[in-house]
Amino acid sequence: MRNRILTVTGILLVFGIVLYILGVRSTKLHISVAAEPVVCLGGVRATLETCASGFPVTNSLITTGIVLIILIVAILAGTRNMQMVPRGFQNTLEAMVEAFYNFAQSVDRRNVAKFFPFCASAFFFILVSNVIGLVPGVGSIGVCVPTAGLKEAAIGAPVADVTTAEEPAGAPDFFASWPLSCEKGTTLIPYLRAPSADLNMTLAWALVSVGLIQYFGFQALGLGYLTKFFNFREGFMAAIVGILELISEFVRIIAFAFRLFGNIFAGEVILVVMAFLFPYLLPAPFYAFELFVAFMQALIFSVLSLVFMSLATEAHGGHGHESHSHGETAAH
Amino acid sequence: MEKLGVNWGLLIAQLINVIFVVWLLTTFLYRPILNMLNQRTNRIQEGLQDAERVREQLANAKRDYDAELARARQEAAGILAQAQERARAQAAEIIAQAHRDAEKIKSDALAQAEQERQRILGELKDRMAELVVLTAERVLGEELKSNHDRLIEESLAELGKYN
Repeated sequence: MRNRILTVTGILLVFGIVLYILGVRSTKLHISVAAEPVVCLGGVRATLETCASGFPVTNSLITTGIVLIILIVAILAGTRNMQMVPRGFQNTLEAMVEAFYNFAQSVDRRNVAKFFPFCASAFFFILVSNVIGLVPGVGSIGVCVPTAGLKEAAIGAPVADVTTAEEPAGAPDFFASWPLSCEKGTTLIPYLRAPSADLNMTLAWALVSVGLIQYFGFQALGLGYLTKFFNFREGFMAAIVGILELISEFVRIIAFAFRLFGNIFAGEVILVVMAFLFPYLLPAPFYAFELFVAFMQALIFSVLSLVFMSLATEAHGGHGHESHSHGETAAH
Repeated sequence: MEKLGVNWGLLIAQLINVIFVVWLLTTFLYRPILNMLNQRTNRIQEGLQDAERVREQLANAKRDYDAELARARQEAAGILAQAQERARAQAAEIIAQAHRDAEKIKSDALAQAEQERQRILGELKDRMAELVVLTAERVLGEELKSNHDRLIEESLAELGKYN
């Protein structure tokens, strides 16, 4: 078994090195922090990342739709014609929902019915969003947009367009003559991009999550929830801690959004860079790691939401904020 | 934020999307699945309870059966003992009856024999008397007349005593 793995790896490596020397590799590296609009609905494109007017239909928005379709298909496949004795996909789906439900129950038995729908939805949606970014073709198939006519992105725009300097000028891109490859002076804008690698999506989830945390807090404690933040009766330190809590509530939005975005986007960048440096075999371990990250980030987002909701419904006076600051540092 | 691709339109689109996803999964995934899980839990609980009940019933039935069997056995033994007792009594009765019968037959026979003997004796006496009279007539002739009837009777009574 081990011998076979080593043999296959060795053969692939030799094969890869030969192909690399022959020039079968990508010579362009295009990374964009923002999701690029594939089309600007009823408008014109300003830069690669923005539309001058109209509604930008970005590649991550398109992928969000695909994620929704995947979820709907999964739901239909799993819950249509449900059996008392579960079989096949229904079993898988039930096991996943039940596992998460049991976990949510172990975090907060009292309010599990209130917290579960959002947190589980966050988990499933983010999981599919993260994993879809790892599907081959996502981020590599797209439309070619000429860069010449466009204004350069604003100063300091986080755009990296690298053409390898070592290549002798005019060295032909191996794939230049292939169909779908972009000509010189154009940049590929992929049709698809992982929704989690778009700050709009992560920010939307973060906003809803933090909004729900406050909502559940008010629902459970009434106006008494505000004494968590404006606590002037127990001395100066308590007042300061209360204000810090208030700030941390807002920081949570940013933390939620950027943790997910940062991890997934960084993962994509690593994969792209690895594929650019040496496209054969080198990205494989990173690919496996990104699968793990995809799962972990989905779990972290949903579990943190759950824990924060649970903490928000607890009356003031507990040592709640210590435990959630632990959770937050552990998550980074 | 603009440089990071945050765009109000997209953000609102994604917010709507979040709400849609939560609604979708809640209505069409969690609710049916959790219902199904609950149903299954109930079903299993019911099944276990049923099994428990059946086991109890089985134990009861076994106990009843054992009790019934023991009672039947006891009854059979009683009946047997009674029958034996009755048989013994009957046997004794029969034997006693037989004894009684035998006794009766014996006494009857004895009585009959006695009667017979008396009759025969009586007859014999008459014959003897006749014979004696005849003999005496022949021996003594005419002398011996009817005056001696008393003597003859006396002697015959003497004879009867020896018998």
